[in-house]
Amino acid sequence: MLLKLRNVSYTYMPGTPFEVTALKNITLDIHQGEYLAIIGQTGSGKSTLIQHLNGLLLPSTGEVYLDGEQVNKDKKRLAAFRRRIGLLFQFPEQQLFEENVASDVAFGPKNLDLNDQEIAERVERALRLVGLNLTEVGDRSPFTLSGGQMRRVAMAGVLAMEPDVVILDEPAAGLDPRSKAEILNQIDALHREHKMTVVLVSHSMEDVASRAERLIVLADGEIKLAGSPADVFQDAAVLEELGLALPQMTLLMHRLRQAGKDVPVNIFSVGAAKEAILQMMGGDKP
Amino acid sequence: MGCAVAIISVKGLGYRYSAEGCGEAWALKDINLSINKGEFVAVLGPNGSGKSTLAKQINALLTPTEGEVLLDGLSTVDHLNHWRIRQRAGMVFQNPDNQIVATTVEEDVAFGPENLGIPAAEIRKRVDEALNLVGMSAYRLHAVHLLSGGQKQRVAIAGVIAMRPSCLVLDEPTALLDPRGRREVMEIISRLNRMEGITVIHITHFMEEALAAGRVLVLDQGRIVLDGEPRQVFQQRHELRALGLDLPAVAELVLELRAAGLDLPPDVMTVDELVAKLCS
Repeated sequence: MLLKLRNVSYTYMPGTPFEVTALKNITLDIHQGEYLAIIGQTGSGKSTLIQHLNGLLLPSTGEVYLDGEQVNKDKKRLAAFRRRIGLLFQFPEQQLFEENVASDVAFGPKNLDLNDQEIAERVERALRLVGLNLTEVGDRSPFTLSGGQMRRVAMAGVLAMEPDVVILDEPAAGLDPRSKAEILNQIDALHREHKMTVVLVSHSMEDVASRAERLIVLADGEIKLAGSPADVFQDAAVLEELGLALPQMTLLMHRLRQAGKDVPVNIFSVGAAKEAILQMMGGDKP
Repeated sequence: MGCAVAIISVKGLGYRYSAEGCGEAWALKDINLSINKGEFVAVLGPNGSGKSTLAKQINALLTPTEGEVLLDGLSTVDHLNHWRIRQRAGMVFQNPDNQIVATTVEEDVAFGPENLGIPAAEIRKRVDEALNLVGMSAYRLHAVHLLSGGQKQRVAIAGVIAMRPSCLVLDEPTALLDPRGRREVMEIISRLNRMEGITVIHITHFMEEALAAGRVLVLDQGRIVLDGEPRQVFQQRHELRALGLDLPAVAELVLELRAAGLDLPPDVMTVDELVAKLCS
């Protein structure tokens, strides 16, 4: 077990008229090497939750453990904790600031006790992980890159810290379909080939259903549903109630079943839907 | 379409950002476009293709480097027209949080009309009407920052509607919203178009949303490369793929099923349509 949350609650501005309890009694385990997605309506507590996963916020009540060690206010330990958990905020390209790509990615590692050689290696490696080439983009101003490339540079900045877990808040928001697929495929590769533990926050039911291994659904600061995509996307009515929806292909299968057809409903991609429908129609008839 | 009246007419529009670092590249080039009163137009295209630049040309936030943009016959080249143009073409942006100017919903919606120097009673009426149109009347005294993303966008749309525009330009208004918020905003936009006759220009990366429009424009490198009804445009799979765009998921599936030998019409694009075809 990598990260453990036990009965975590968090209240913003306690003791004031603006007091809001954003998380209520959250118990959650994040396992080494898993790909977890967090979904939920705006205001359901997703951002508050991920800030607990890297110690930007500490619980009002309850505990957070990393490798069995409780995270607390101790500054040194907190800094070490944050280094192990990389967090990529929404629109991270807005946080790029250096004059060239290489320096931007190097900014984090420079604050670790590393020599120049090690820093250079990390920059090269991190850029490679996001599908960029140091010799091609290293000297360029980040601001001359496309939106999708800028976002990948920001992601490289997080990866250059060599975290154990990477948390991504809506990494594909506002990108066109191609850039979106590119960045999500890079994240899949990090998980598959580099055994990175990934936590993805997204409003796209399609993306989480076809990519994550496990989902948790937040509503009103509580975990309302948890399980595999097949478990979570079983009941359309429950998801609607929570302000979410079924992925298009899953919805299609539910509708066909309502119309009396014998099809599976745990279908999340166009490819899988095609197979299911061909089977339903009685094989590859002309 | 014989008696259709053009509300937006763009002739030979070219635009170059003059800021340093942007080089000599044209953000828009050779754009000729006529949009009629009451049309619902979706604008698609990869990042950097010029969609937002075109949107800003329509309400004179940017003005042409060459050519001309007319809104209701008013040219954006003439600075004296700018206020009238901006009243008639209201804009809604991607991030609702950047568009909030007041603390309560009704004050936020009143902000625009107040700046027009309209009498208080008239402002009251416009605010009530606008909130009613976006289904937010019950929230008029609520704090805007505590609303959901979809509700904030609806308030932003109400703020524009209170200006009584003839045209609504929305630049990725659903990009940051959850599924319910997206559905709410799309329903409001469609209703304003259908019931109130407001011309809608809707920029989006969600191909499904373009199906709600009557017409789709596809931009690439500052030029219009496809222009037609959504069902025609989405049959151009190769052209769209080459631009890095998708088809709506159901359209993609129908193409695959047709390739596998199923007898389906190529213009089936929604879940309901496909279920009807497969179960008939």
